[in-house]
Amino acid sequence: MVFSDLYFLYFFLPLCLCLYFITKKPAIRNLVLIAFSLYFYSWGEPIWVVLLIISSVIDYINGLVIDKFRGKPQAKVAVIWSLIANLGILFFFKYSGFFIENINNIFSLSLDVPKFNIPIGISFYTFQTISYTIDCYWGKVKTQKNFFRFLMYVSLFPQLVAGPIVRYQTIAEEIDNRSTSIEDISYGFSRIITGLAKKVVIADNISPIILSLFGDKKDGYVNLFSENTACVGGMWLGAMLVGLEYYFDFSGYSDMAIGLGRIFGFHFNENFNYPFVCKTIQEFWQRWHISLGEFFRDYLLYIPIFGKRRKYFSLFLVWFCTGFWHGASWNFIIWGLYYGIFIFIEQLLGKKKLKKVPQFILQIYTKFVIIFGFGIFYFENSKALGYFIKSAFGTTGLKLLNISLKNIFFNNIWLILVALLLSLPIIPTIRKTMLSRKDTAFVYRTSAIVCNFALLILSSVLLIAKENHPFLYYNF
Amino acid sequence: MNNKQKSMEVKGFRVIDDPRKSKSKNNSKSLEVTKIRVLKEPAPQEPTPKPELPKIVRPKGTWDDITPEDMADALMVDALGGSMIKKHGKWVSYEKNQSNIRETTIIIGNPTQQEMQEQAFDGDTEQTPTFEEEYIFERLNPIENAENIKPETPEYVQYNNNLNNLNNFEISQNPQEYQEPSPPIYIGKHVRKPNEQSDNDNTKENEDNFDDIWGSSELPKKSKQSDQTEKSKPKEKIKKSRLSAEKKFAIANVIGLGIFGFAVCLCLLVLPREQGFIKTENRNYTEKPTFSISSWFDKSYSAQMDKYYTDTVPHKEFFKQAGNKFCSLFGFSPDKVEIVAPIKQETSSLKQDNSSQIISQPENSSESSIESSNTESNIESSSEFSLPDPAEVTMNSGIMVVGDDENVRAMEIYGGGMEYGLKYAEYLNKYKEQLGANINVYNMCCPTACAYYTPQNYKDQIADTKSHIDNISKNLSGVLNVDAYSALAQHTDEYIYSRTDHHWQPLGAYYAAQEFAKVAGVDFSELNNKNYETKVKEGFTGTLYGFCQNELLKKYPDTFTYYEPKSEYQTTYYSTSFTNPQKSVLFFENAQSINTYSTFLGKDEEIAQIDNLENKNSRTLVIFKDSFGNALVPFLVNSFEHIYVCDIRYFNINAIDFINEVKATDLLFAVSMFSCSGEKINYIENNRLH
Repeated sequence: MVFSDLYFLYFFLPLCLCLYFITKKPAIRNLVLIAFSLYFYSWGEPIWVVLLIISSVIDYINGLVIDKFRGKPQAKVAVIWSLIANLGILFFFKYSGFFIENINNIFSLSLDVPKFNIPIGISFYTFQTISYTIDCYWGKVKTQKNFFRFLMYVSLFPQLVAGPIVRYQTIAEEIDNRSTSIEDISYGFSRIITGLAKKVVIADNISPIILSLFGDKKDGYVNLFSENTACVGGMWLGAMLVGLEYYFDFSGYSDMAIGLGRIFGFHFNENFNYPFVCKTIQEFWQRWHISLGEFFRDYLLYIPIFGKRRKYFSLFLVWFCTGFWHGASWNFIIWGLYYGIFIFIEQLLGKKKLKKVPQFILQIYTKFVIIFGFGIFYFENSKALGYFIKSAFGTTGLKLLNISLKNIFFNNIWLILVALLLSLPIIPTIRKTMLSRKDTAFVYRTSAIVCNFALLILSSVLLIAKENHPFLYYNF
Repeated sequence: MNNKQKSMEVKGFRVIDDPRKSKSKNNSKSLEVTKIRVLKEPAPQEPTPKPELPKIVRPKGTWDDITPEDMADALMVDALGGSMIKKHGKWVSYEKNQSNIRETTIIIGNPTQQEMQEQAFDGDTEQTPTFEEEYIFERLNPIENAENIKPETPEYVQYNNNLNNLNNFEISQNPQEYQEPSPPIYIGKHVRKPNEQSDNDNTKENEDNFDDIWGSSELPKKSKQSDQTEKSKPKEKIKKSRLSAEKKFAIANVIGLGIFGFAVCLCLLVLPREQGFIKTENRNYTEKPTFSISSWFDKSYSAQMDKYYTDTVPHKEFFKQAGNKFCSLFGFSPDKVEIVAPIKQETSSLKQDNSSQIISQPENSSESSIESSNTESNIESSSEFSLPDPAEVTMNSGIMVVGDDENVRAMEIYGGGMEYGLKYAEYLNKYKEQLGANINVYNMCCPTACAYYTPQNYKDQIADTKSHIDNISKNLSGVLNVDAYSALAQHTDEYIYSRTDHHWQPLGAYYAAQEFAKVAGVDFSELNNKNYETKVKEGFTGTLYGFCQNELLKKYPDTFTYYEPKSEYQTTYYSTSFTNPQKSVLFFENAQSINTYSTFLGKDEEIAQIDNLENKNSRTLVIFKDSFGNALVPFLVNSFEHIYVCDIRYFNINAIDFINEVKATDLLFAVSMFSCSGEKINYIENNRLH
């Protein structure tokens, strides 16, 4: 089940809210959430829901072991076991095919390549359980003694399938005890609708433009290679649109997750903070998919296993992992390391030197790096990736611009402009200025409600009218 | 206000707490204290008595300007020794040193949304702080230097609102000029009190603290409460009305959206769902799945349920049009040309049985004598019409929609493929070689609309049809080429191509057939009332409309004019293995809307045999075709005694054997440009090798 689906919005969610709010006892509310979460997950993964439960059981027990043997070697064993189990599950389902393929290529063997369908959301929930066990071990969170509460944390449907990676410590108190005010529900509704509109109105309509510029993985990126339609400008426009699509898709999903969480009384951390206003690449990653960046930072970058050289070695390790986490494909690894290189350079230069560089140069530099990065991100086969990189710099003899690019651009010009504008923090600025005065605050709040309705209706109509696209981050 | 101004005079600093009153003196030596004062504010109604000392830094900037290292620098907290955790949008640092543990809440820059909502209405009252205020903090030296500090001359540190200057504190030492400030407002969170006895029992204390800080789940809750009371108490009066105003909106929002959501939910559950056949998409609405254990576990139940829920929404057509209308606002077409992205259709769903749309038995209006109706219904019922499968329409490059109003025309964009063309010629040569001199082999590449109707400035965006045809014809040896391209080029101002469909109009096929008859040297029945009966079908919105759903195309549909030969002939259909003959008709009059082109032969798959009962010229033509070839057949009925029509894509026996078996004298390959310069040429080769 996906959030941007009529069945979810107008069947699952109302039912879930009804049952949740007519029950008053926290324990029963938790059970309602567990039941609906498992229903939600098994809708898409009727078999692998077992894996989710097994994973929860393992880490629940690990937590108990760590608690009992705190400071003793048994606790260490439990952490290591948790890492092995979780990363093992992740590796087995997500990466085994990739590794065997590569081993076959390198040693020219012909081992059977296992073809698993990656269980939805496995990259997210394994990371969540890892964070729980490690935090237990480090003593940052109190061990959860109640299995159902722990299962609720792992399976919580707002954040289950495509993040954000909500750490146990973020919602630890709220798992045990939480309440919802009417403001929370109002905020949650608004947030859900914002996210839905981002996804359905913007992201889903950008995707056909990308398709006509590049094609996609399934058709082997035909349009990228087409001599008649491809041009250098198209490469850059396409890469930029990929960035916008992913931003609106994934931040829309995160908005919905945060909004849903808030309705049930959970405060998730923000996952996106207008990444495109960044002045450095470092800053970009502090604004883009924040939960993932923080996860790697806290659990990988700062573990002192690399001694004093951690800065350099672990930096690249983190970026390798960030890339690889996105998918078992070389382009994601290249993509991760690509960012690693720029961050490495920025760290070498230091903050002070970067400060001296004029603003607009930093802006151009970051946008250039980011857009090209999304180009790398998009092409999962090496031939297309190579061709894109060469063409983007005009070395394949393509024209700079052509009429089909002109056409594609003007056919969608308003959509692209609106998407670009909304990727900048315009709405927060408006909100801030309008809320600072009483009369404008009234206007703001009224129009916010009107917008909620308009966007909800528009999104619903588009959901009916168009073929459904699942969220992009379901693939990861 | 006085306080503030006075403090402003002090070396330009707007500070500060009375150091002599600072509680730091009384605290355990090991405690590092940092305090924050909110400036520009007069005293709140009541001071906030706090037993513990908060440590709050609120510089300007946003959260993400700050890395944990920055933060650690700022607070002299080693990020490795202690740890920074982002909690509800605030950084909380935990530091453990020898004697105590400290929790510090740091609130930076832009407020979180929640905070802002709480603060939103406070902005217009002068008594309360807004987040833009400057904050200043005072820092006492850590323990190592504690002895060096004389209590009379503490350091006053101004915070520059700039994180990068955190290390460059400006310091003033003039307590004398200092006036008693208003009691401070603490914005921030609860701070753990250092354990007073820490000096006595270090190790044990440590552990206790550890558990207390990390383990206690009440701690954060408590702090939340204290936070709230701190904030709300001084402005209780103001907040009461404000909050209710805000709450009103929240309630309105929740109730409004809630009612809307539940109403839609109910409507979707109760109102009758759409069902049956969708004309514009030429398929049936998704049916409600039935639950079973197996369908649950193979995900088919959930997938179909999702689909059913969206697909059969009442008044689906209305919503579809509304959605399309909205999407047409995204931009404009600079040259009246719109390029529609290739649309991926799920063929599986389109091919679902559409039993309700089975074309009923045709009226026996044609002169061909058909006896049993069993055979007809048989062949009809298997005639499922659907959008051409993607193999038929190469949608890779998309669809180009040109022109305005009644001239609007959708065309497939032809991508070309010279190497395929070469191979195609080679394959045809093999047929000729194998069949020998007695059987004439012809090639007709049927151009598509974009060969003639692409606007001049878009010509280089599509592959050139003429050069592709020349490429093929040059490489034929022994195979006679039928130049349909030139034949049609003379008639481009006539209605030879459908505007909403990827096929040609029967008239276009007529000119191509005429050219073929010339090459083959057979008689040809000119198009007139004596030879043909003209029939017209209005409102033909074809496949290209189905793919791109362009509003204009729907508004100006095609007229499908076709011509039934008046001569006497009979039509027999066989399976793809040339078995199971069944007599039926050549024209399926009930074919309509998107499938109108299927008027000819009904569908592509079967092998059709047309025997002319008047013409005895003992020539037998075998046509290997794709769907373009279907329209040729009626015009060739009078020219050959027997015609066998086979589709290259659905042919399950050896083509050479078949040709010999039916004693063919002529063999025509009539395929569209997409088929003769694409992957589909392999069908032709495979048919020969079956």
